[in-house]
Amino acid sequence: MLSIVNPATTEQQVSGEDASDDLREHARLALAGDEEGTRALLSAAAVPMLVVVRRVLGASNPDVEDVLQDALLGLIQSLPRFRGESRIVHFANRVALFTAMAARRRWRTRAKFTEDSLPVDRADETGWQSPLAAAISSRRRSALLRLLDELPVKLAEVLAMHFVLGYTVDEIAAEMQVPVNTVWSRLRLGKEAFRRKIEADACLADDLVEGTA
Amino acid sequence: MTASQCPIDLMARRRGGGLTSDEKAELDLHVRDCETCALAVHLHEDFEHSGVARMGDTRLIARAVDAVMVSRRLGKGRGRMPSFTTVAVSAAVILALVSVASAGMWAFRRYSKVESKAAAMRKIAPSSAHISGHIEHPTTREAQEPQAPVPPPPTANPAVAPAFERARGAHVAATSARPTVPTQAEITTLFTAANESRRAGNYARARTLYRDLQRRFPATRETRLSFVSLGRVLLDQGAPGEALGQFDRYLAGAPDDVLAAEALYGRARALTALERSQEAKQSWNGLLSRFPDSVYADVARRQLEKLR
Repeated sequence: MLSIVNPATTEQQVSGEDASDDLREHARLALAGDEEGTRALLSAAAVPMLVVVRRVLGASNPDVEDVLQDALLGLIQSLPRFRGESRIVHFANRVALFTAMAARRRWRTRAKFTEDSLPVDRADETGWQSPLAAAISSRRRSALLRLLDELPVKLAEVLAMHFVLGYTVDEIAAEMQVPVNTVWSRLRLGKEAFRRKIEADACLADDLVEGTA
Repeated sequence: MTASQCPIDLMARRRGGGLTSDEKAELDLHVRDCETCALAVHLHEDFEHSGVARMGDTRLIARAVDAVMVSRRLGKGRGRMPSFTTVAVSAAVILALVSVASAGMWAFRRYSKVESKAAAMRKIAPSSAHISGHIEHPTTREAQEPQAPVPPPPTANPAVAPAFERARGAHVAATSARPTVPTQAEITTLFTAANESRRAGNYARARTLYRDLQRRFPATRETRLSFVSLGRVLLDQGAPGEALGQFDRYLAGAPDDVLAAEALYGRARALTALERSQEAKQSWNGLLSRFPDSVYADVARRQLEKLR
């Protein structure tokens, strides 16, 4: 998807004039191999990345910390490929999102051959008016994530960035380095696949529609 | 309403609070007639509200960052040629350790030879009973002596004892030179390695590492979490008895902690696999009553049906 960029060029891009991106300086130091800079970048990026990992895996999943570590490692390893066309935090969130989605796919594959080793998704009641509302929300999220597991990767990534991260079409296009029309097209295809799934699966429909009426 | 007419972008922007009042009105009007978009709006709200910060996040993040920094350091060290100073210092340390070990072995062997001689001497030396006219058979005398492990006795040859004690003292010193207070990085690294092995399907290695963690760092949070992780591995590997022990250890130490549902679920599965039906039923019921909304609730109900 992204070609390898000359680290020197990347440093220049990372050092750009985007004053609103306060992680740029940490990223620049990390790219230069500075240990303190790396630690500062990871510590700052880990906060939003943890939110993303929890959204995908469920807040009570015991593997949240492991997957966060994988995502942080992935961030450092993929930093040389950062082209500077979005904010570092967006880049980090995307790494966290795809790391968590990949973890889900691995578990689902393994779950086919082992007994019910389901990822945990206990309803997080924070911010909801009632435990029932929290439970309904949790089921809806789980249902969407199950759907994303089954879609082709390119569609799933765009839908995930849209729903899980709340990115606009322009933001998704900037992150994925694809034209805006491509993002529109994938979102529409994804929503169509979504609609067909709901029509074909009564249980899924119940999970998704309950509470929306 | 077709998907091509759906204002997809407005929903994401609504989440960021970036809609004008006209755009909000447009979206609300559309959502009234489009079920898919109504669902999408709810899904946006669902994800916006989820994953929020929790107590303990600062520590969790610090652990994760520490583990990554340690991994990177280990990764950086591999494949690099060490400096001359590093080689020289390492060689000196190795030489010193080898010397201490050799001295200890020499002293121990010397002591053993002396002790064998002494034992042999005791066998053939006349006892006071013999002097008084009674001859003791050596094997009878040995059989009467209590069978005890052989420490360095105070009556051993005085020429040998100090050397042995010196060697033992050196060993104690060498042992106590090792750090006794574990660092968080050590704990995190071990826990991370165990989890990675488990996720990679290398269950034998995962079991070894979890057990190592539990033995070396018994009072840590990582060990507490590992009871559930190892329990799951053991259960999946067909060792429900051992798995049960792990889940029980977690629940005994932290019955209301973050993995309580998982531990109860694992416990119930283990008891079911062990065909301890009454206890299994109690466990499944306990899981249902404490966590009725969890993903395990449906499984619990099905299991209770089967156990009727």
